[in-house]
Order: sequence, then structure tokens, then C-alpha cells
Amino acid sequence: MKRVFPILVILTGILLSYAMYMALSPNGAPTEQTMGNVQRIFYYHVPSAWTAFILFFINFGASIYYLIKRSPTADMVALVCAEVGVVFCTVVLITGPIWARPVWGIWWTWDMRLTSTLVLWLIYVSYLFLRRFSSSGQTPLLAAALAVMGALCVPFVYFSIWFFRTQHPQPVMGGGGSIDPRMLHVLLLNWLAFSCFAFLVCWSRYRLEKLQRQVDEAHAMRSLMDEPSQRGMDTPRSAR
Amino acid sequence: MTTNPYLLAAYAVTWVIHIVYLATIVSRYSRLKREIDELKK
Repeated sequence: MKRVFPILVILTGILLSYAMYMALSPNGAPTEQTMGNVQRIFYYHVPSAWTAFILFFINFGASIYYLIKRSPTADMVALVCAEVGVVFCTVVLITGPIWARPVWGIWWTWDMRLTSTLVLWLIYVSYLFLRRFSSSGQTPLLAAALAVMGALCVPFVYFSIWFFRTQHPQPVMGGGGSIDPRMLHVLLLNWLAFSCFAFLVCWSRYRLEKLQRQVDEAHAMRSLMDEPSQRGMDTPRSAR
Repeated sequence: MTTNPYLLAAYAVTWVIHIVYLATIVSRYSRLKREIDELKK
């Protein structure tokens, strides 16, 4: 496994570089006639959103599994996916307004898609705060319950542009929008590159979390082993 | 291709966010390594 990881890092790096070249070069994706080059933000914005949604769904599945089986591995997978998902969702919330400013003339509007994405981000940020600052033994259970509720927001965000009249462009696939096949090719290539990148980040973060828990366990064991000796030292003092 | 400042900003911000996050993972990992070394002593 230790040998596979650096190879995957190199391959993902090459894929990300190629995908970026295809997104920025007119030889890859053609320049959109109305918006011009600013439309190329779409090749980072949309794949980041799809990757975040997938990570939140994995978090949902792992949380359900944790609620049923109380598996520590499922708990770690849920935590890791939520954290990396928040990073990708942050990219979505920042690149969206950067695209909107030259195209709509405004940075932000309280439109259903934008607002629901912000709410989704806030739910998962609160999930991470809960995991970070709660010291209760029930924290994984509470976090899993919150994750299940949070995941219900994901389909709402995705389908919000179908059910509500919004300023946000129509969905690229499965909705009313249409796209040039070359643009679709570059979009899917970037999605593949970001998915590989997200997988590697999750893998590293999972290893870190596992190590953290082992260290916490070692600290707990050490303090348990130290306790009797301290008690032994305390006894004569209290007897006096 | 003429460089659009918004396009440049969006791509730059994306990579800054990812790099900062990766840096936090690396720093947490090195802190843990130090903790493990102390535990071994």
C-alpha cells in the first residue's frame, strides 16, 4: 500500500495538470460565445460540486452504518468524507460568486440554489465543529444523526433548480440545459481528476485519523498504567 | 488566450484552498509523529 500511494499521487498530478490544460486551452474546451473565457470557471466549479455531493453521500452511508453497527471504521470514514466534502463545497461557494460577478453583475443573490448550498455547507461545518469541540462519549452518535439530517439537504440542493425559478444556470446533465460535446468531455475529465484527488486526500486523512486514535488510545493506556503507581504513592500520605 | 482576472482568481483560489488543507494535514501528521516519539521514550 505504501508503494501504491506515491504512484497514485504522480498519476493524479498528471491527470489534474492535463485536465487544467484542457479547461484553459481553446484546443481543449471551446470558448463560450456569450460569456467568453470566464465560462471556463465552470470546469472547476461543477466538478467540485459533484465531488462534494459524492463525499456527503459517502458520509451519509457511513453514518447510517455507524448508527446500526457502531463501527469505528465507519465513524472515521464519515468524518473524513465530511471534512474533505466541506473543502470542496468551500471551493464551490467561492468560485460561484467569482463567475457570477462578470456574468450577472453581482457577487451573490439569495436564490434557492445558492442559499441551499450555503445551508448545506453550514450543516457540515457544524458537523465538524461538533466533532472537534465536543468531548462527550456520545459525539460520534450525535454527529452521525446530524450527518443523516444533513444529507437530506444534498438532493434538495441538486434539484432546487428544477423545482424553483432560479437565476442559476440549468443542470448540465439530465435537465433542460445542453452542452457542446467537447465542453462535456473537458468537464468529465476535470471531474475524474478531482475525484482521484479527493480519493487520495481522503486516504491520507483517514490514515491520519487512524493514527490519531491510536495515539489517543496509547495516552489513555499510559495514564491508566500510571494511575496505580500514583495511587500507591498517595496511600501512605493519606494514611498519615 | 487573453487572461481573464476572474478566471485566474477562481483557479488560484481553488488551489490555494486545497493546498492550505493539505498543509494542515501534513502539519497534524508531523505533530502526531512527535507525539509518538515522545510516547516511545
